[in-house]
Amino acid sequence: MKPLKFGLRAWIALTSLLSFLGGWALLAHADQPPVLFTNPVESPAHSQADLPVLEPVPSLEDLNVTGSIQSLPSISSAPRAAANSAAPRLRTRGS
Amino acid sequence: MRYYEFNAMSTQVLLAAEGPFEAVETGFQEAQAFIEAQERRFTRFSAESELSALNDAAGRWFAASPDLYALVALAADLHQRTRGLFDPAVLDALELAGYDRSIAELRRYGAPAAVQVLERPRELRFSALRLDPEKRRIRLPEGLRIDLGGIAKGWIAGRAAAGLSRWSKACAVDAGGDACMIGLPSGEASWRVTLEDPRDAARTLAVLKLPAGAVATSAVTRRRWQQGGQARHHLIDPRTQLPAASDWLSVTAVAPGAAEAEVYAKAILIGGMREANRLTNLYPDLEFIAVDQRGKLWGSRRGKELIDD
Repeated sequence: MKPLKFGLRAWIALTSLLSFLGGWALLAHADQPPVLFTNPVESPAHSQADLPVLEPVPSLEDLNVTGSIQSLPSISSAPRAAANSAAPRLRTRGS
Repeated sequence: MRYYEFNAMSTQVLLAAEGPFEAVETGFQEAQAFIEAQERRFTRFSAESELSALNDAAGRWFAASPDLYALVALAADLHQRTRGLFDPAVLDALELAGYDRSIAELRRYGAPAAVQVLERPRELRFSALRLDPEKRRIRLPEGLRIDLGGIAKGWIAGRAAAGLSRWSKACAVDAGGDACMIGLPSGEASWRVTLEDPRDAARTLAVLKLPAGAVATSAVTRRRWQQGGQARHHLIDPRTQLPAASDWLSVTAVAPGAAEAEVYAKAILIGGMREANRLTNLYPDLEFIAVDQRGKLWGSRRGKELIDD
């Protein structure tokens, strides 16, 4: 049985090696895939030169520096109760 | 100080006056009668009002009452002072934005999507209005309709306060946030007026201490509705004929007259910082306080001094 077992192992190893080398050779000589893009796509209609240049929008703080408007301290963190009996009756609001 | 409240001009009106009981009561009754009569004159929601008659007569000379003539002439003057940002002729745009029914209906059902953007020819602008002071006549361009809602409310509050002052040395009329104060309360150096938080009507953002004169607030948060998935409000920017895109949620203006305060508040809300700078430089007796999305306050140089600590 021993010579038969050795022969079977040698046959499996040899056929595996030959199959691997055959596949390598086949792929090495196969046709290359088609080239889809050689350069990044650039549509003339969307080229960077045609985009409008926008001015940065000034923040309220920036506007505040040059104008006579000034920021007042925020007091929204401590709203007063509208129903406070000491609160004045006159009230201004949008209508 | 005695107070009297009633509903008129689609809002709550508060009268305040110091003095002997009978005199103050008489003053209150006269003021209420005056306000209700002027409301009937200036409303656009009644076909019987004098304003509706003026709109129906567009294209022809219209002989106006002294009150309508005075208010339209004042509106024309303020239209020029605000370089058109205050425009009583945005009624068509307002209706196109969906405000062609009551605000209650709009809030419940929304408004149909706009089918067009209003483009108005030059001859159909409010500036094409003509006034004849000698014969007290007004001529609107044919096809133009005007709405005097906000300015009328301020003007009526001012006139009612003037009438009330015949009975009381210290009195005020507050018509839904447009308030006119005459004299000063006994022992006080100023009138105290609460400033409502535009983000939450139940909250008071600040208490203002104001001299005799007037205060008015415009806000984009009060009358809002949905149109085609977009949030709309009732303050139309005449430049775009669409609801104004504003940096601020509300603007409160302090000026000698309530009609002027109402108009300046609206113009600053629509025009933003640039218009606020221009108007406060032009009119030294104008002060303003604006509230932004975060509840932060902005204002003119003396605006801070108006806030009671």
